[in-house]
Amino acid sequence: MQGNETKKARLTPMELVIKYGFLVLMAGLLLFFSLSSEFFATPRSAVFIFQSVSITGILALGVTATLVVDGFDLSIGSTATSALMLSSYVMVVWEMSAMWAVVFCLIMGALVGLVNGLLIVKMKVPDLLATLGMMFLLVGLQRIPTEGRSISTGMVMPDGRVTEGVFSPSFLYLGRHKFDFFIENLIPVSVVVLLVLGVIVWGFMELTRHGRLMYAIGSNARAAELAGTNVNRYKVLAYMISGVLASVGGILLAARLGRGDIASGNNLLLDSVAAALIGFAVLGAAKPNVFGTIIGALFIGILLQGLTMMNAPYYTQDFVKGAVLVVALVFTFALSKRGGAH
Amino acid sequence: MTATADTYETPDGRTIGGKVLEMRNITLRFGGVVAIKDISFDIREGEIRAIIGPNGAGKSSMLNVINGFYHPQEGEIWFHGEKRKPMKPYQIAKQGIARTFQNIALFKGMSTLDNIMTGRFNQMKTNMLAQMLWKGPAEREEVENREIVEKVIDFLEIQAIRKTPVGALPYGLQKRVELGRALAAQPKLLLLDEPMAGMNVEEKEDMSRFILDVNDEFGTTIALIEHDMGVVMDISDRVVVMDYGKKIGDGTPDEVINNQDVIDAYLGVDHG
Repeated sequence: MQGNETKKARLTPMELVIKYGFLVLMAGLLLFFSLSSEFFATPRSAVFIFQSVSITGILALGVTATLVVDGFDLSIGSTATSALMLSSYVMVVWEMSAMWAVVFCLIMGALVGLVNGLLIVKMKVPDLLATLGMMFLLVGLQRIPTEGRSISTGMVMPDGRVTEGVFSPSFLYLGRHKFDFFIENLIPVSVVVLLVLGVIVWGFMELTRHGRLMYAIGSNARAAELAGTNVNRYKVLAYMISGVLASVGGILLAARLGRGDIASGNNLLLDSVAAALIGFAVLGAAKPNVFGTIIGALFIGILLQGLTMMNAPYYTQDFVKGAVLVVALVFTFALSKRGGAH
Repeated sequence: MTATADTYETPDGRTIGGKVLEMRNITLRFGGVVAIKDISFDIREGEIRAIIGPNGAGKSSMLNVINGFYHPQEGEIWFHGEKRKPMKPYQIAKQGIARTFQNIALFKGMSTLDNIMTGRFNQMKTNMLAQMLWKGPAEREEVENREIVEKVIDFLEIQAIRKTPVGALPYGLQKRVELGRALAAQPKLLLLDEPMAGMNVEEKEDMSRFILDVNDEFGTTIALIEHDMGVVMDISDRVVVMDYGKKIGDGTPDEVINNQDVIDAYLGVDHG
């Protein structure tokens, strides 16, 4: 069937840059950090990187799903922190089991995605505005039950009650256990979760007709509708995937922290959106893709770990992340004029 | 008027069957503006039916009514002998009405092959997990669908560009890929929106040949709209002529071309 495929043309220098530029940049970064800091290239630092990458990566997969249908989800960060607070609340205040905490969070994520999706397809609110509104709504909502305080065992609730529930060990396992992989305690559970989810989302996007139709919708929604696609349903689905993945990220964050920390997760939105957008530039894909997104998350993880180890002050990190994002966007849009996803 | 059984012979010896689509007294208004006024006509099995008229005559509106982008305020649409309820465009597409667009509706970043494949996706039924694991029925279905797509690609002579992103193709070829995407769904009725707009003479001849071949090879019923009379007269079996939202002629190309109202409309006689 592949008989009349045209012979592969030799890549021009420009095409080489577009295709491999970002991977080379990442290799260069790794080399640079390894040489500048003697502790960078150690298993312990790898664990840190994996741990920070996993949650960002899971959220970024959700962003990718919405980018595929030409949407955008700004509410993922606050969905994740809402899941963080909700899971803590379920276990500490309601004194329920870890399973219920997880179930409640997943349902919450799906609901947030559903509402986002319906706002966009039924109420015709532009995606950025709808999810921006949802973001503010959730940021406020997650503070109401505790009057803005973090949740932990023994805290005094607004009604004067002292909480007695605890984070169950099986829940904390999700955030703290590390599997042995050649070296003892190398791979955190959250990384395994990221890899499993990554494979599932990749399979869905690349191998099923549903995924390909979602790419088709992102490219030209009207043409997709003409081909018999229920565009609205797929869009809502994309936001629900995003919401559920964000809540998974929030659960893992809660399990790592072991308390419902109100101030955590401020950077989740920026990091995961950056990861997904950097993903455009990986291998010259010029479109949202799962593999690129995970590489993007890894890139950001390496960058942050490296900067931290070189004692760069925390306030420079956002600046560097932003600069990297801009470079990645240049790779994607300015350099790949041909065959873009627009 | 439910005579779906009556057939007619074309001059070149094809037998045209019963009514595939029947528009009965369709009126479409946008606010106070009447885009289509009380128009009735039918499209029969296996025929090439043209809707022509000057710019602004309401041809595109008519096509948009047929495929569900617009819902007429008055009138009935009968499809395969059944009155059609108001439906969304994707539902109508699933019923077997495919269409192309005047300003081309394609997925520009995707290859020719992937574009045409999307025409088939909504015909596929196997579940997601089976597709991801590439097992049994999913594999068989994918292969069957690929065969249909390959046939369309061969037929439209676009093998050479199967892997090319369609955004990089010249206009004429994009039109052909779009026709391919519509054909891949194996439609019962194929709507072509100004298939020759913006083409040079050579491309127009190519496109005319493909339209005739599609009709001949797959027996596809085709309705097309055009404002250029020349080419259309050569390839259509029957022609509806519209002007200012009204039907001013309906018949074979010869009948229509000798109709005084049609001549006036095209020569721009004042309607005062």
